[in-house]
Amino acid sequence: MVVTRLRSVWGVLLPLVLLGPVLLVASTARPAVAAPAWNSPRAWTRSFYIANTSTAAMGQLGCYSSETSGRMTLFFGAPTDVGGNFGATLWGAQNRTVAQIGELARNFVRGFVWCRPGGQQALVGLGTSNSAADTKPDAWLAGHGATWASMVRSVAEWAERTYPGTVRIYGAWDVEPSWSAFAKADRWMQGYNGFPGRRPLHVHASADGCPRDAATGGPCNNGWNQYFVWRLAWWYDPSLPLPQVYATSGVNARQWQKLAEYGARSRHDRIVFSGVMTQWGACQQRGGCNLTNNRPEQGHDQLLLNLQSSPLTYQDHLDTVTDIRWHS
Amino acid sequence: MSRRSGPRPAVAAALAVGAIAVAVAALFAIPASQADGAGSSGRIAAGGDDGRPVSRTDGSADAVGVDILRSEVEAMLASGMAPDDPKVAALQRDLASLERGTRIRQPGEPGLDMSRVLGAPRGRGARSVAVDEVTPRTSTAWDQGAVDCEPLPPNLLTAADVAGARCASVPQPDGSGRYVALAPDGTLRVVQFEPDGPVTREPDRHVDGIPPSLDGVSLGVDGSGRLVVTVEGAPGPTIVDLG
Repeated sequence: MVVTRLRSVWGVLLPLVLLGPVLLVASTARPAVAAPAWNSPRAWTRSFYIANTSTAAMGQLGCYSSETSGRMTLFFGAPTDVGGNFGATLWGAQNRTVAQIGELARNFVRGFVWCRPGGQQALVGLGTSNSAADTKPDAWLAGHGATWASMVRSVAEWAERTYPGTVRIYGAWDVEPSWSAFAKADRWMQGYNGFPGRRPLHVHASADGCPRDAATGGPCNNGWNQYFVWRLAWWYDPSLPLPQVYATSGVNARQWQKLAEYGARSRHDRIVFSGVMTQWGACQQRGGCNLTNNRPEQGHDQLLLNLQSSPLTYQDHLDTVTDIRWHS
Repeated sequence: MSRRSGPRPAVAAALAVGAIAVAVAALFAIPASQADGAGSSGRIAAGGDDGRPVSRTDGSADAVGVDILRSEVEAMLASGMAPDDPKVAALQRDLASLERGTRIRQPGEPGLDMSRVLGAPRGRGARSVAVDEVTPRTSTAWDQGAVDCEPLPPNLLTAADVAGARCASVPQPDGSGRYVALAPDGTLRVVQFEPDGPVTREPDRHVDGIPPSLDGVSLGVDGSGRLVVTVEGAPGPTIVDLG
């Protein structure tokens, strides 16, 4: 009798125990792992490290880029002082002030608009980095961030006024734990974020040394941790994360999934990724990279698959894949 | 400074079922071979080496900026972000602006003639002409002498390579450039910038007689594109031919 009753109870409970989690997940979250059909980005764009101060060459670069629509970034090197003005290094090309960089960006836009064969629309990030920030005073870094924000806003307003419906301008930032102390990077961001009317910022961050199997705020390289990376890549209002997913092993994508999970668990604020950056083109230019030369579609697939491995980080598509190379 | 305060309902709900969901997710987990990229399905068709648009596998038209912005906004809202969240609001403003812009005539810049710069007529076909019209570089395009040290991606010079180093830009007579980093141990790392593209790391060299702290060391360039390393108190500079 008792056995029969137990069988009867288990007859009800067992299916619930087995199927309950599945039903719960199905009713409260998107699939933990999507079947093979996720939305692909329509195209990948090219981004560039700019080591060339020629305005004509920038026009040509804009023209060259005019067959693709979407987010792309132009990096101008590390923040530096140029004759008492804020500027950037352009990696051995002549240093340029922030204002001069704005002029280079305008010529990129002109080239894009002039050459675009159809209705292409560019979302262009104008970028610097946290490289060499350790050598700069805090107040200088905040000033540089604010000046950069001012330039980006100015170019954005010009583009909207002059070429409406064609180009939108954004800030951009290559921020990497190995390149500076967190406090220095954060000071630059505070300067950028504090500028009135600052534009959204493409944050092409790396997650050097961050955990790949834990989402508890663990350590990254150079004294950083998951909170620091999450804070810069997402917490600040302007931040639009398009992280570096370079490693062919997939470890970078795994690190970013854990960062997003950390945001969801510990900060109740998960990262929503705007896209991903790869460096396949730059690797080709230098004759190859060892295990860090994901092709654009690999970077895309790695990050999306990892995000889809947890309901806490699930995202059903990534809109942008941009691949960086040198323009020298 | 930032918009965040308190958990979002969607996140809280996800947390509540998180443990169970993850357990279930494990049943459907991605094979390691896929997660490490080896088994990547390549759903976006491989782009051409020139970065031209790749086609969607379903054959529909390429997206333009408004599609991307709209999709980004949808992704943020789907994650539980509020419509008035500053990130969402900023993208919605951009979307509205871009949409509005497509319906009005572009004022452009009267008098601007990019065909002079690009050597190409406006519009379709211009790109193929302009790409061939690469502006020749001159040695004046490069900085000359000491510059701030910074990493050069992708791993051409790492943060470790430039830690404590002195750096210089050395223009070459042929229009190319050399970016050099002299480390405290005398290792000289050289990156070559060719006009229009290739960037390569050359074999390391060694400069003798460098004091460990680099005190009194200065870097310069002579008229032949050679690096001039001067050490205070040394009988004469060391000349390094980088050609």
